[in-house]
Amino acid sequence: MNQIKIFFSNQKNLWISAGVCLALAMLLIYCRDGLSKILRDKEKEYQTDVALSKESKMRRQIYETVLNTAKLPERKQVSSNTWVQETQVLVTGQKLSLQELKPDERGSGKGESKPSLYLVVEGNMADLLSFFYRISENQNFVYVKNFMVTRPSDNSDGVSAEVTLSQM
Amino acid sequence: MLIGKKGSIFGISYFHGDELHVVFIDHAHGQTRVIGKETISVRSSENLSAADHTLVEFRKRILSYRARIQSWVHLVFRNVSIVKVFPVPQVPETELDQAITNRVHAEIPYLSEEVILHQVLQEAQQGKESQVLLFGVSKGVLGEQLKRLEAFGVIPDRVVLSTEALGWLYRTKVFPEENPKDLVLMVYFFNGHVELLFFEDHVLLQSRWLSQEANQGVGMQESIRATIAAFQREWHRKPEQIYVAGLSSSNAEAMSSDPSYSVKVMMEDSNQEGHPPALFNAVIESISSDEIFDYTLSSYKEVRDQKSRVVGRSKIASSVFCLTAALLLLALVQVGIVFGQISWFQFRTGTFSADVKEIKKMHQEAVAIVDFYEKKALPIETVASLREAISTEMLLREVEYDFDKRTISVRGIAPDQALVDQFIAKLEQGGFYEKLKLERIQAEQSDQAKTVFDFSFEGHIKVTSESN
Repeated sequence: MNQIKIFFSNQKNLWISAGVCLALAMLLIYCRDGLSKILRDKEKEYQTDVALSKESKMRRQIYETVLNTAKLPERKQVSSNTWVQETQVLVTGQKLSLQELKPDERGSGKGESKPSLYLVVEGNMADLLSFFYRISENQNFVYVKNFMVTRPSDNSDGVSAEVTLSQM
Repeated sequence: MLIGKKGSIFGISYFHGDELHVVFIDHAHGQTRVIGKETISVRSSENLSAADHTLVEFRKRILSYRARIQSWVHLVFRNVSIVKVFPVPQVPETELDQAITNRVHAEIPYLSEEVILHQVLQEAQQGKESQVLLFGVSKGVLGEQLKRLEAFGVIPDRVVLSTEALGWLYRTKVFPEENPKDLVLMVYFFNGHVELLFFEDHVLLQSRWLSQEANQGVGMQESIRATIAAFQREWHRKPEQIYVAGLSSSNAEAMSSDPSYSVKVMMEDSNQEGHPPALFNAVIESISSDEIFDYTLSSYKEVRDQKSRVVGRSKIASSVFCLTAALLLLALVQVGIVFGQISWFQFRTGTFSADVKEIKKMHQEAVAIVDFYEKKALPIETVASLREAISTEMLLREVEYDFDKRTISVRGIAPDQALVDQFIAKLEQGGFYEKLKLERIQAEQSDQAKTVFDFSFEGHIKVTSESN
């Protein structure tokens, strides 16, 4: 006890201790934020388990129905070149005019590792819908992530669409 | 016994003969009382080694008080000081300071470097001369006294001269408002010595010191009479009234018996334990009101200021440390709570049966399937729902869809504003969208010179996979 008293009677020791305490406190606050995220996930998981345990029979039935009626396609990674070629074929097959097609760089390096394709097509609305329909019907993990359809100001039937395809 | 909180306790030290006296006084809410007294023989302490028990114990007691003291005052008596009074020189105001300085050098018997000087301009009533009151304390004597105090671990916050404190007592307590026109003598008895102060108005004319030991052969009464007679010879006037203060009952009685004086005992110091002498009260009150000069030697002032700076910095460091330690403790508690909650959820999750775990697995698979088909079908459903809800008279110019944000943004033209409202209402009724918000609607002239409405709105797509 006496040694502690002597230690803290030195101003330099007090400042160093204050600095160490502050650094530790900051570190702990940083860790707490990470732990809070884990806590939220655990809580969500727990609440899901509670909900499942309450209606286990009914839920089992529903999930069995879903699992029996629909199956996910076999997951296989499509190479960028193959995907570009397949998309090119798909677009032209729907009588759409392909203006641009390139791998989408946006989002890379920000935690988004899913590959994407950016394309600009022109044609009529029915063909565009047909293109979307073919993508949804294909037994792969490609989906339309976003699109922007614009009609030119001359009021013609044609539309121009910027589409981003992505893989789940 | 140490009573009273820091902030109200004063320590007063003074040397009397070979002894160092220290008195601790609690001064709170205008009430004062002595809470401790310490005395040590300076001569014997010089002969003792630093490790001697008596010395160590005395120092310990002093330091234990020191830690709780607001202010430590060292009192210097008249016997080691000089007090001079001289008229203000009759010179132009611009030359007054120099004239006073010259007179001071002429008045004091030593080199001014050997004395700590303090001068006060005493304004007299109309028709009388103003006076310069000059106090001086020998640096040698003061240095010796402060050195002895320092040996006990004490550097006083103030050094006060008894004559100044008694002058303050006279002006503020004896005659606080009225200015007595007569010549008044205040006699203060303290610890076997007496200090005589001759006042006219509030102006101190002369101060004398008499010691009982030095006047044993003559007697104190005779010495006082002789001093008054000397004053009378010098000033050609005799004090009409004598005010006696201090531990003086017998002396006061003796003086009262002299018919040539009008003697009045004004504040008799009580012998009772706990009552501080009037001089000490005057010292405490005068330093609290900052109306009295500090005679501390500059070298000690530096040490004192340095110590006070060190103490100040220590306080800041301690406060910062306490704050950061509290922050650390708070962070520790918060992390502990989060850890506890995680552990609790882990424990509770672990208690569910294997059946629930299997359903959970099925749930995850089902969610993945629903999500898969939702992602695949959502663009078609979006466009289809728009085509279903739109009126044939309307034309869409732009449709933007974003799966990640689950948003849709639509821009188009309509011949009528009501059609736009119907379009949005139909979309919401379909149950596929929510929070549809009209952003803009503006009337425009079409190519056929008709009025059309350019509109835009945006909203959210309802998603089912995440909610299950």
